[in-house]
Amino acid sequence: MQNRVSLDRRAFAKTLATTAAGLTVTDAPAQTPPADAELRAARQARQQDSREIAQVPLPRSVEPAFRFKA
Amino acid sequence: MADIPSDVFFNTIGELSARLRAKEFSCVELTRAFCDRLERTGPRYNALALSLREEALRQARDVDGDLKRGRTRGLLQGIPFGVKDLLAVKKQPTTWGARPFAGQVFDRDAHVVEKLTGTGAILIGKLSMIELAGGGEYRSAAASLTGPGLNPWDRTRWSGGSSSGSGAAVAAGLVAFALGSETSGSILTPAAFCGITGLRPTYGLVSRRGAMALSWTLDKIGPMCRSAEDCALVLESIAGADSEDPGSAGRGFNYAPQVARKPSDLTIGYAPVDFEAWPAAEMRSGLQAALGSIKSLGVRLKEIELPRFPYGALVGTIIAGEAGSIFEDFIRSEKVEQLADKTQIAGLKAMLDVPATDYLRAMRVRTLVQQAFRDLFLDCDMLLTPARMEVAPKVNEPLDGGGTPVFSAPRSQGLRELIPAGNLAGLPALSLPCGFANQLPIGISLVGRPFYENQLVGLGKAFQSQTDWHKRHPPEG
Repeated sequence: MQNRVSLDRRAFAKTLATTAAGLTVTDAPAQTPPADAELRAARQARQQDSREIAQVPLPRSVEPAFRFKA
Repeated sequence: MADIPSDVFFNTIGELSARLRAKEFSCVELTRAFCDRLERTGPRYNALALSLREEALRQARDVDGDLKRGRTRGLLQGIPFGVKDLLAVKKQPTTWGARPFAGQVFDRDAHVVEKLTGTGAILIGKLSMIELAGGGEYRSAAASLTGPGLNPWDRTRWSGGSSSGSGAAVAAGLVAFALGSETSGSILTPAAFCGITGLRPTYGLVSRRGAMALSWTLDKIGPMCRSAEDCALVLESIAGADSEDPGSAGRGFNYAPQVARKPSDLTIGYAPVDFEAWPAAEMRSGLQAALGSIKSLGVRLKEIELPRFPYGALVGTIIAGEAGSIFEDFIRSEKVEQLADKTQIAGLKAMLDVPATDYLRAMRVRTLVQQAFRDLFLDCDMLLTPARMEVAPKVNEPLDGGGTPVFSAPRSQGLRELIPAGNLAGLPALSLPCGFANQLPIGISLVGRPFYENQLVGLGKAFQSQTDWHKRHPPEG
């Protein structure tokens, strides 16, 4: 996905910057920026939601609540 | 110039209106007094996003002229109020509580602002909020352009979100009433934490035109006030069909307490576990007393449990699908990094990874949720729960409960997930203050069938005629 590509590029750029700041390349993966950890956690939360919802038995005839009315 | 007595700041709309008509003070005097108080005390709670003093005083002069000529326009005429900064006010900044949108200006008032000012109510300020109404999920009370919303009952505690400023401003007597918005809990939570009365209307009853969209199928705008009756008066003014809101239900609301059924004709669904085991220990006696007060009104109580669905996951997925689309350009831009809360930034980015099939499945399960609630309301007229199971958390602690001790969870879920469930089904809810725990407000919540607002307000009013929790206000800071 386009978004993922751009994020990966940004992460790559951060690794480069960290390296340029004087750390060795092998240190870089251990210095995972907190933002990336947050993003991983957020994606995992979405995936967990998806798994929970998938457990609800859902007949094929049920349509989405579009043009939702209370 | 009349000296404004300090009790006016905690008057209901009806009381203020009577005093204005009795010429105890003019509308300009009342407006100036509220503006002074909002500007002086609002920042103390990080509740004020923008003072609108100049325009407010201009409107107040018009109201004084109208009253002098006998042109009365209802109880809201001349009453100072505030709105969550998610609502557009023309030619004024509308920040959505978020730094990247700090310079945003719209050229037209939100529908609800037009409606209220049209009745002669005086808009004196915009009130702070969690950035982007917290759609990406947030971990800190400080997830706001104006800093953490501080609770007037205890400034070390949070005022709740995402309508943080609306809750604090009403509780502290900085406005006579306020508008908030709710996608899932953003009216009920600050109302409960701040000890005020909040009404989440049925989905579609109030137009969202001019409000920040977070979720087309979940967003609602509603009143946050001093009493159930005040909520009804404000709702009467802001409800109604609007062709510019595709979610509009095409109907209005007339406050008609006379048509509400007597409490003795009502069956209220509740779960004992919600009052005995789920709430924080210090809240239980106050909540049980409130349950007793409701019962003493003559209602029939019936034990029920919510239908089993993954409500939190459904709300999260639906918001992710809709907000991900609404904010896609923003999320893909560097500006997203300017938000205050890292969890929120990550949550917004993760929205773009939600497959369409997940969103559609959630919306299909939502159809089942609605059917299940229709069935539930065959057995009872309303549902009753604690508005929140905990008091306002400390502002400097993570909101996801990181570090709080794990307790042994009851086996029954009761109605614990009624906030996401009620929002998924588009149901109206009324949050009523019902006491204190450790000097912090606690509340109960009534939830009804769609368009059942008169019934909720009727029972809320009966409860408030027997209790005085809604009349308490925090000590002057």
